[in-house]
Amino acid sequence: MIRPESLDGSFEPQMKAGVACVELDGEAVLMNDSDSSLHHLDPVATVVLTLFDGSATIDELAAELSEGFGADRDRVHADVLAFARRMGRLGLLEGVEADEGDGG
Amino acid sequence: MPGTAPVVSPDAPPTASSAALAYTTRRFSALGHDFAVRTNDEALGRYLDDLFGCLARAGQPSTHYTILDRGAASCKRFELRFGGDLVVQSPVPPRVLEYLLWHVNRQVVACAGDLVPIHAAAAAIDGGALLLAGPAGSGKSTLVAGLVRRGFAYLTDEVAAIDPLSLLVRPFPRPLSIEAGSQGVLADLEPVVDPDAARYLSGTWHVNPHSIRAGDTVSPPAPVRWVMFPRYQRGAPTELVPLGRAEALIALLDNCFDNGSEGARRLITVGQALAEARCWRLVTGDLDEACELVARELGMRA
Repeated sequence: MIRPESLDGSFEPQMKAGVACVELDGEAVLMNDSDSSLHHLDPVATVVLTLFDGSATIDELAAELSEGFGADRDRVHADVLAFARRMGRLGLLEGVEADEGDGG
Repeated sequence: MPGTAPVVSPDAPPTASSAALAYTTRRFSALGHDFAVRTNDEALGRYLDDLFGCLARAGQPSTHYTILDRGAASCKRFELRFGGDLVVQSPVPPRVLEYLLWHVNRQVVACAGDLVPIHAAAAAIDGGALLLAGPAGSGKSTLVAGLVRRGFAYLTDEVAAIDPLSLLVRPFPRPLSIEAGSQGVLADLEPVVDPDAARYLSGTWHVNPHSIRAGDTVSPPAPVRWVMFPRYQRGAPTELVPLGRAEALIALLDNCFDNGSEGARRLITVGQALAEARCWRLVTGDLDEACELVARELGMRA
């Protein structure tokens, strides 16, 4: 298991099995079945989450997103990495150790 | 609804023989809970037959409650049992009715099976259901009573159960509980009670939905078209504040009863049920204003 703060651009984020997701009006609501915690994502985070399928690294996802949205690559990379760490801390990513007391 | 655990006395005396139970109500069925009430107080039996009238079904019930009046010589004179299990004994009669209503709610949730039960009132109009979700004291029972009086069809004032296959809200048309603080604005709904049964009542009115107005007052299963989270605040102007569906979903999940079903299944079911719903927070200090605003927002022509 990797600590969330150790994630870097080479990590391939994938939502953990057992996390249920419903999308309403472009906003995802996630439930971690291990503790029934609920998490609400805004539309941008929801788009990024759909790419967390374990098939691409954070570097590759950031490149794809910055090209798609015409945004600064370094900034997008920092945002995606921060989002992956946040998801990891909440216990929502495969292979990432949740922070105790952080919903995970 | 009592908030404390039922008082159970392991040394309770045996129940009276069935011969002493002079009255058995009709069979009542609510979601998965199927019951009748046996009692040695005929006035109470008749009262319950009327009170639960919207739940009456033909056939034999699968479970029984028993309510006994052991007579003035007994210090715990009034007793409620479910099957063979003692639910409560009390020297005062209103306790057994309070606990009966509480136990029926509890069993409805426990027997809900695949249904997803939400702590919410609900009423229907034009084939769509309006959910009114919130904790005790938020005003949902008062508001649903006002809406039914205005022409909405009643689904429940306590447990809105969503069917995961059809995504319809299933009716649980229990008697509406009108607390003392709301009786002034719903004065025309005051129940007429046989004086011999009145000793079982406390300050709360228990209102048979059929007594609210003429016509069909109970709705068939209906899809969720609107969701509101009411909050009564004395003197506050009546206001509907739009709410995103995702936010409403989280708030509804906070109001789901835990009936042992998987959290993920609750998320998916309630999420799918909200797919076409419009959602608001409702703050109000006036029932008539709230009913008027809700009806207008929902396009009701009454």
